[in-house]
Amino acid sequence: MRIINLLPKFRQRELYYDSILHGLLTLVIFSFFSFALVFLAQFGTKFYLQIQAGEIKAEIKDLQTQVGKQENSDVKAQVKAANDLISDYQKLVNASPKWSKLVKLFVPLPPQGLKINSFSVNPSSRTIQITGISPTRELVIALYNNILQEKTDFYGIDYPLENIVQETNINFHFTFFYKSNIIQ
Amino acid sequence: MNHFSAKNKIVFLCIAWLMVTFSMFFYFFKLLDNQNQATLDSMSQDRSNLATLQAEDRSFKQAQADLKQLAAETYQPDAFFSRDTNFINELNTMQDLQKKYNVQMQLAGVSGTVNSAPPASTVTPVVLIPYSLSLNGDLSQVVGFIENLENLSFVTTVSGISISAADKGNVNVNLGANFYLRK
Repeated sequence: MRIINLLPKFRQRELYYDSILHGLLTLVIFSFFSFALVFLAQFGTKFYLQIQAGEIKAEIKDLQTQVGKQENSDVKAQVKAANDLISDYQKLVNASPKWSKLVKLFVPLPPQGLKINSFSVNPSSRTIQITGISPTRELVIALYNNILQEKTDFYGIDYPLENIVQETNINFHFTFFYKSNIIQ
Repeated sequence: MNHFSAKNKIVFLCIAWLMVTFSMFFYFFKLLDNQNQATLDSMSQDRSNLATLQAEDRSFKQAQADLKQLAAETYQPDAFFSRDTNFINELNTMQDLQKKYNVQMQLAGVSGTVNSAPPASTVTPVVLIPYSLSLNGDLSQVVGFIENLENLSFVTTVSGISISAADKGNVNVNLGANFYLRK
């Protein structure tokens, strides 16, 4: 079915523009309203942020007064002094060698009948030099073997040939190293 | 004339809408956005400062608690190193040890003043007082003495040791060591 518009042409155009204007006006009002909403939201955010920033600043000011007090400086100085003393003490204690441990580790090694005359430690080279008298060559070799087997504590024992030249009444000497961890 | 008026209204409305939209997007929204961003940046910096200050405050309160706890301890850090005027206590301790282990003890090499003594490698002003110690006695007693010496409440570091046989089954022990005194 065909619709025939009987209005004059200019009136038709007028109605057409009016309808566009009406739609456009609605759109403009709606967009202005949304602009206003966004603007208000931004303004509200600004207001909220300023309040928050003010609270943080007030808290900072309060803490700065607290932290900057003379009492705080005194406490810091006391803690530093105590810490320095404790760390110095700890450092020196840790650096102090425990020679008694070394002697205790060596004492069971000489076999019965053999006499140790001297036991000298050179801390810089971590060497131990021992001298002694043995009634037999076998006991000297037994001492050597005992020290050699104590691999966890001692190492690098030498084998002076003069220790085994005589069969009896031997003046022997040995040099060997100790591991640094045993005196800590 | 009427239809021109409606058309003009449309044009004016479009121009007005474009101007308002332009000013909103390129001025007002941007202005407030920049202001809010600046406030946020400033708040972020302030929060960081606040966190630092809060940490300092916690540290201060913890330090106060630690000092209080430390004050209740038997051994105070001040007592870790003797002064020259109470160095006698360390000598007495060693003499007590000598009696306890029944060994003969000869202490030598202690001389001078703390002002002339060499400094120790410490943060606090501590000086080294070198000394040598000769001991004579049964091996087990002497070793017991040395073990105690190494674990006294005050620090004395034994730098070297040599042991030699003596008469009556005893041993002679020579020790090189250091005392530490506060200036």
